[in-house]
Amino acid sequence: MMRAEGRKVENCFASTHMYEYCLPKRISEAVVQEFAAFGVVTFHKNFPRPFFKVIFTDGTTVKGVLHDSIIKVQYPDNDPQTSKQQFEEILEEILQHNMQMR
Amino acid sequence: MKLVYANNAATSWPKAPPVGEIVADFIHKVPYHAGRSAFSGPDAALECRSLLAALLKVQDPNQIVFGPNATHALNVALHGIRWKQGAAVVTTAAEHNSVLRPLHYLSKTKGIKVHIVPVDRAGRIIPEAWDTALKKFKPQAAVFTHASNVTGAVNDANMLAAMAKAVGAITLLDASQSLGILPVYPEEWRIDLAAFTGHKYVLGPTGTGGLYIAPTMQAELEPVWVGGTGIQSDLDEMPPMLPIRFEAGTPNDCAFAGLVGALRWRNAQETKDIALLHMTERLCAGLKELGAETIDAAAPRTPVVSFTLKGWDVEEVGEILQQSFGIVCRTGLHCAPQIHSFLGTAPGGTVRLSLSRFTTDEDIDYCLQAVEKILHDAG
Repeated sequence: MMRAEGRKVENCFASTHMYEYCLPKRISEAVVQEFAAFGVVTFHKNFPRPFFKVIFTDGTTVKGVLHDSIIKVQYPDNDPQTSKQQFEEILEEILQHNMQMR
Repeated sequence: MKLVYANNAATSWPKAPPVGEIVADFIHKVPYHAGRSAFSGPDAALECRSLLAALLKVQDPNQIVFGPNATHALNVALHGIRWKQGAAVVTTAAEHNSVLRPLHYLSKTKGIKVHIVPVDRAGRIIPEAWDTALKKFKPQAAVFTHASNVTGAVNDANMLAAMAKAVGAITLLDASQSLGILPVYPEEWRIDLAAFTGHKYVLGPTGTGGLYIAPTMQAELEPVWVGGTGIQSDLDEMPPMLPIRFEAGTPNDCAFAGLVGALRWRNAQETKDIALLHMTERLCAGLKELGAETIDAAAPRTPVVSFTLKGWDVEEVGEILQQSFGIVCRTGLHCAPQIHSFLGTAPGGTVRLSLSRFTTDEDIDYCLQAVEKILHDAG
C-alpha cells in the first residue's frame, strides 16, 4: 500500500498537473538528499523554514519545507501519468528506506 | 514563526474586532427572520442596509439588495438586464472573472457583443480608450471595476460613468476592491448598478455582499433567482418591491449581523487611510530597491502591491513566502486573466501582497526582509 496518497490540487492554470502528498513522517534533510539521486536539488537552508525544490530529469518538480509532512509535486504536461507513476515508485522506495532507518 | 497576513484583497484578516463574537452570539440565539416569523427581535438586515446606505451615500436603504458576495451581485445585474438583440457591452481588461465569465456566458447564450477596453501598464483604465469605445459601440451596458485587484490602481468611477451615461449605457460598477477603503457613491456618480462585498475592506464576514440598484433600474432588471420571500406568498411572481424582489430564499442573517458589527466598528474608528497608503508605497519602493519588478500604480491606489522577481517562478516565490516565512500572499493571475498582457506579466501573473488597516510597519519590514533573503539566497 502507498504510504503517501497524492491529492490533485489546482492553481490558476487549467492544464496543470499538480499533486499534494501528505507523508507519514516529517521531511528530514536525509529524505531531501535521497531525492538528489533522481534530479537536481535546490535547498534554501537559510530561510526560517528551509525550502527545497527537486527537478527530476523528466521535468517533475517537487517542492516543500523541511520538517513538514506535505510536499507539492508538479508533473510535466508531456505524459503526466507516467511521470506520476514513476515518482510515486521513487517516493515509496525513499519512504520505505527512511522508515527502516528509524 | 511570525505570521503576516497580506492577502486582504482576497479576503480580509483579521476581521473587525466585534465580528466573530457577534456571529457566534447570533448563531446561538433563537432564529427568526424579519417579516417571516410570528415573533420579533432586532432586525440585523434592516440595520445593515441603513449602515451600508450611509456608507454608499444612498438615500433609500431598500435600493441595496443583499447576496452572498460580489460575484453573485454581478450575476444578478448582468443576467437581470433585458438584453436587446445584438446588444453591445463595453468593459475593460482590468476586470475580474466575476465580470468576464458572466459576459462570456452571455455572449454565447444571448449573443451580446463584448468589447474590452485596454488598460495602461499600471492596470488603470485609459479614459480616452474608454470614451472612444463607448462612442463607437454605443453599448447597452458599460461594466468596469473601481480598482484593479491585481495592481490596486483606482479608476475615476465618476468620470468613467459620466462618459458611459453620455451614450445612454447602463453603468455597472464592480466595487469589490474599493468599498470600505475608498469613497463609493453610486447615486452621486450616476451609477445604475454597483456590486460590492462585505468581507474585503469592510472587514466583515464572508458570505456578505450586495448590489445597489438605482431607482431608475428597478423596472429594468429582471430577478435572476426566484422563490420564497416570506411575504406576498399568494403571488406567482416575485414581489415587485426592493429589496425582496432580488432576495429569494433564506438570508444569511448571522453573517449580515457580523457585517453590522464591522460597519459600526468602522464608523467608530479614526481613518488610517494615509498611514496605509504610506505603508503601501514603502512596500512598493522597498521591493523595487531590492530589484523586484513592481507594478507601479501611483495614487490613487488600494493597498495592493504586485511584483515579480527576475528568474523566479511567481508561484514558487509565493510558496516560499508562505511556507518558509509565514507571509500569506497570493500568486498567479488573481482571477483577472486579461490584465496581465498589459502589465507585461503574462502568462504567469504576479506575486500579490495586499495590506489592511491592521498591517503594521514591522510587517512591511518583514516582507521586505523575506524578499531580500530570497534574492540573496538565490544569488
